[in-house]
Amino acid sequence: MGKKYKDTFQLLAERRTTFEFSKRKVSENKIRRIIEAGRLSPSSHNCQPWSFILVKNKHTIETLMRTYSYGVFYGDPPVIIAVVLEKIYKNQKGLLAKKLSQITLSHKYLNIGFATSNIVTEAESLGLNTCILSPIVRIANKILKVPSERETLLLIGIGYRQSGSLITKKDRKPLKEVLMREKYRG
Amino acid sequence: MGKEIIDPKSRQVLVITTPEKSAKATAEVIKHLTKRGNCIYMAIAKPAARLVEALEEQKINTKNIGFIDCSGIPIKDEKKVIAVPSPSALTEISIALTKMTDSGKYNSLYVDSISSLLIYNSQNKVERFIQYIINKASNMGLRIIILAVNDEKSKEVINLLIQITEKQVKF
Repeated sequence: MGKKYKDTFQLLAERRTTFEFSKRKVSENKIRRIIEAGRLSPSSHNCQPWSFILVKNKHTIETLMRTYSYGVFYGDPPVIIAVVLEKIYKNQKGLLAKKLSQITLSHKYLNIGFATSNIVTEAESLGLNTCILSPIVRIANKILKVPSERETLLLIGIGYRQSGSLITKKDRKPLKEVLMREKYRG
Repeated sequence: MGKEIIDPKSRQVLVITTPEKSAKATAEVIKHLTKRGNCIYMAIAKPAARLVEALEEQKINTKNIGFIDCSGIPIKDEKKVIAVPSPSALTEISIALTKMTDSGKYNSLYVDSISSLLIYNSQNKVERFIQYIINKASNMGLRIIILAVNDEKSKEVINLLIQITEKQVKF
């Protein structure tokens, strides 16, 4: 059973990666809300360079879970949201029109990070658990039939933590090491 | 042991042996690997302390070995050994492997053994885990030698490993 947090700060302080998921299904309502949270994320010049592929097919999930080779070993989640970096065309119409020159590659990657963070935070706030995986883009693209020049950058596993499975200790630098006032090492 | 082990160009080697010969196969592999640098020994069912004794009896220098000890038995040498609570704790084993590879000290990985992993985990999990380990070793530039005891339970995983490893050696 997922945890209920009293506020966002508690969620951010206590959220841990889930390595092994139970078989319990995730309701459609929750999935929809989680994807909406991703859709509503901020982005550079409002370029919204993302698409989300919702994957529930067991075989596809199992195949996708074999596409990462860094990080650690995970058990399969019941749902994966694949976050795809969209191509931004020079002559794009609509929201992305004339944005190309203003949006660098690093902006695009950052924006994918914003969307992923929103998705994970919303999922956890709904009592679900998550893991974020970086797949081998070429292989993940192939599995999900993502057209060329787009990149399946992240896979977000969503479900409920298997009871008794590993929960690692939160290990972060102390505030005094990362917080500086007025200037660097000020 | 065949040339396949000695030849450092063989980056992924599967050693297939019998229960009687597995200790000797291990000694041979470790002897080769430690002569060529530092080796991570992933010991699924045997305690690191006992392995050190056995290898030293064979006059093998164990200074170049870092152990991932999955036996669940408390460890003495915390510098060279990372303890994992159980052979079924695959995520913990992979975290221990990441810690070791991140140190940058090691250039090879020995997995002892697929057959032990199969005692504690389902076949599907073992297949996925070993694919993960092989990919990880390849990405980290480690040579990987995997030991498999040729018993009934290991047959199907051995068949898979024959397809995904570069060399297979019968010992």
